[in-house]
Amino acid sequence: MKSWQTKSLTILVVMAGLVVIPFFASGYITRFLTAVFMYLILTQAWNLFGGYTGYISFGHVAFFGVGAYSTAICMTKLNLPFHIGLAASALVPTIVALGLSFILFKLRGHYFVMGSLAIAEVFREIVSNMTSVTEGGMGITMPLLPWEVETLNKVFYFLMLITAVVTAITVLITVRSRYGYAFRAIRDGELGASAIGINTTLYKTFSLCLSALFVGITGGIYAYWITYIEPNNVFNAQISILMLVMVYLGGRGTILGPILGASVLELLSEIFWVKFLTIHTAILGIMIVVVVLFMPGGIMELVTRGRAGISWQWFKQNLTRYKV
Amino acid sequence: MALLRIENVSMSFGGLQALSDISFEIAEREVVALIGPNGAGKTTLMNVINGVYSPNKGRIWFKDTQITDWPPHAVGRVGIGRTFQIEEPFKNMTTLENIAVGFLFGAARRKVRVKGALEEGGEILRELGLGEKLHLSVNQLTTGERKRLELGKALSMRPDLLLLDEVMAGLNHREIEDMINFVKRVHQSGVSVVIIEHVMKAIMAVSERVVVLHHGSLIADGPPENVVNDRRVIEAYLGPRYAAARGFR
Repeated sequence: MKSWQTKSLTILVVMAGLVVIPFFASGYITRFLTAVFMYLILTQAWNLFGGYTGYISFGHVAFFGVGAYSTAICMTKLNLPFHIGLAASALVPTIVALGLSFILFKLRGHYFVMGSLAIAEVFREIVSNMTSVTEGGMGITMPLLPWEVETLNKVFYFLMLITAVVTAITVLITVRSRYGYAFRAIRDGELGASAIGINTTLYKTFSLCLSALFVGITGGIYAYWITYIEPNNVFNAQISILMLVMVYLGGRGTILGPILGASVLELLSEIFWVKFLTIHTAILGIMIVVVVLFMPGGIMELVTRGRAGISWQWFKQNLTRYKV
Repeated sequence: MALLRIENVSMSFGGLQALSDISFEIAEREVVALIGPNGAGKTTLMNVINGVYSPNKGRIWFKDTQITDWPPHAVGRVGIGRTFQIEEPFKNMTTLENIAVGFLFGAARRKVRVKGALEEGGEILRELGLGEKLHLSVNQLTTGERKRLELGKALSMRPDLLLLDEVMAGLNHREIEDMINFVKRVHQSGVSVVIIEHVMKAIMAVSERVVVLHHGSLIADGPPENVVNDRRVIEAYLGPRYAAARGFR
């Protein structure tokens, strides 16, 4: 009961803090936090699929790009208001995910990873070449909002914050329900899961669609926030990789893990990567190798093990777990 | 009425005929042992019943519903629970969560919520002597405990028919005794059991009928004491010369 009270109090304080920050902080801080929230949503959504069902997706950027373009096309080509565009950015990627699940779930393990990577590239190519609808490589410039920069910063800050909170709560409810049990059972052994009565294809599809929905919405908000999108930007494979690295860094298959991973990595990149512009992808790569080898449970594993459990011995054990 | 009816089931993998024209029935509340030398097709038959494989020929009926070609999860939901020879625990979940999955997705799935599943799961684990290990991860269990967990997972589906694939392999004497008692208790609660086993003591103790497979064919079907003295069964296990020396013709 006591820990429950501390937890809710912490959440309340953090939320209150986040609500007041944009009224005092500079535009730079506000925009930085907006980006952090964006990655919070992306990682939570990726984790719902990749972390809980164990299907490693390198293709989630496809949903991000499709979401972004759905909003952009609705607003510029069809002259619809933003909220309709946002609804489209949720709906279209979900339908795309539903369609893809018929193809992708024929694959498992490494083959699924390769398949998901290919899917993202396919979408980038399609969007690049459908010039009549998407303007191709020219990109789409969104209609400007008639507000001042500071107001705009706040609007997108709260839009991302609310979406992040909604996503986290949805993921929390989902994984604590029977769906969560199904996802984790699938991750630990699909044969055993199906023998025990779980319709694995159905639950994997559900997980992918829900995940795509949140990634899509984020893409939609991003498009309006950035005001200019082009295929190489919103279908950039690095966005998929970032989702994965952040989730692994924080701890996959946990709720708090992606939050920690996204915040830490965004902060690090903001502080350090300006200095390592040319090699920052290499650092990202090294980071994922180190995390997977030495602490496959991510930061969350460090937290749950406590001070006593962290030792050189434990790092070595993790290494042998992967037979190095 | 037969609970499970297998009609002329054949199954081949490329050129290998794993099962040829197998037919037999299992009545309600019956315990049947399925035996045979290595490679006889016992596990393949279990996989066919359970829906992991579709048979090339033949039909399978459960409670008068044809379940041939059904996927494993659908077979599980109508009331067939199974264990795997090499256990398939959900290794990143606790013992209790492993059992809860069976309640949430097995035959009783519509009546159970997560909280109820965890409560009932605790009861099953206590019955299996794992009451102290509810919140341990599967990696912390011994072989014997993992075998019991595997049985518990199948039981938590609330099946009418339980398929047990070598649940006693690798266990010591005490553990085998315990497992025999668990199977007997399951049987007494009204569940039919098909048990693949090499531990002869267990077969004689629990089964009412023994079905023998050899090279994918059914070579004997009857009460345990008759089957162990059947010439073809002895030939299959020990070779025709041994059978002749023992005076079987």
